[in-house]
Amino acid sequence: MTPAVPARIETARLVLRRLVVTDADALLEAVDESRPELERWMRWPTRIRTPADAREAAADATAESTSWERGIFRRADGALIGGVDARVLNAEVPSVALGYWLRADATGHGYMREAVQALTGMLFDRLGARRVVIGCDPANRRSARVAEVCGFTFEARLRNEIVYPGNDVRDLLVYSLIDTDGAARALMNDTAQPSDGPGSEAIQE
Amino acid sequence: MTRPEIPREIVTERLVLRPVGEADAEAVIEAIEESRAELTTWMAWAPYMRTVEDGRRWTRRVSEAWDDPDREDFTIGMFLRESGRFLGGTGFHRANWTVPSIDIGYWMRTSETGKGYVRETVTALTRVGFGQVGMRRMVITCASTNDRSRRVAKACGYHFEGRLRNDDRLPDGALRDTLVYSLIDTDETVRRLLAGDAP
Repeated sequence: MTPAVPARIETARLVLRRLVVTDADALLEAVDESRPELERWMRWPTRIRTPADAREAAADATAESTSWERGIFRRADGALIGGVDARVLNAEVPSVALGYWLRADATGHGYMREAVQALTGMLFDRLGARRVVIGCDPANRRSARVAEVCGFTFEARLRNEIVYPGNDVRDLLVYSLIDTDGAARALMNDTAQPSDGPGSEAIQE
Repeated sequence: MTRPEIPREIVTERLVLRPVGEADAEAVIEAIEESRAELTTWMAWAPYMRTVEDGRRWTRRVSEAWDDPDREDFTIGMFLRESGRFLGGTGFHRANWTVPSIDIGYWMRTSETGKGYVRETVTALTRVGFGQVGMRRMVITCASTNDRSRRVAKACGYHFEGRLRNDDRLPDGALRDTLVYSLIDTDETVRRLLAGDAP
């Protein structure tokens, strides 16, 4: 079976690929550089504080049947600038939730749009997704902006939906793209190329 | 965090809401049989509930689940106070104890629809949920084509939050959109409910 999300995806300016243990230093540096922003919205950065934490995170080779994590690397200099992940919500549909982060000094160039569009296109094309969801905090305008520029439709503001670590209860904005949306059709069979280059051989999919 | 206790019995003007037990299996199957056409449209479990033995297995499972410390689902039967007749199923589902939040679900046997029993039930569960259980958010979801279910949510003062497209599949396999309704602890409806006023 063709894997739903290839181990490596190349776009015009980016490579999305699985992290390996030699990415640990770059991961820790990216997280440290962006820590206040990341920890405001996400749970996982608090678990990456030392080189050992980063090695463990980078080497975490879980079987990829229902979730996929990919590092975002800039092709020009090979720098690790962020990450994207997809997680199956309802296998019957199938529907998938996306998450993403970008290091603070790489924002403002449209990289996240490029990464999200490439991953979303794979999910529609190769997983047969009928629904892809982005959830974000109402105050996280940058995240909502990514959903909007990628053509996702705002569906709902779920009140008192979620608790962040050490915070009060927050609302959650729900955006989605479904397979019949124009923006979804434009992503199918799009320009992102799966590749069998380095990093893909050890992957069980 | 200590989890709040959900009361095992709630008595309303006309109803008793309590966990179902094995002794209810026959009545549950009879109610499902009578309502099979309607239930089959909306409920994925309907095809698996045919014999009294199916009913016994199910009642055993959902009543034991009440004693599980990690439980997220609390299945409740609706019974007429006067006669003890089984009317349908309801419950608290998908508990998220960090918020805390919980969903309410319901189905009513076909011969007893249109009498306001579901509204009476949802109002009682909502009052208990925000009152003694301390919920911050309570949710009703339904397929966008399930008008009867949607009307219950609206009549009980739940706010429409949005329509989630392609969110799930109906038992026949067709994709369905989901309507999300909620109340939160600071809503006026909740304040009035806790003050003892009808919604």
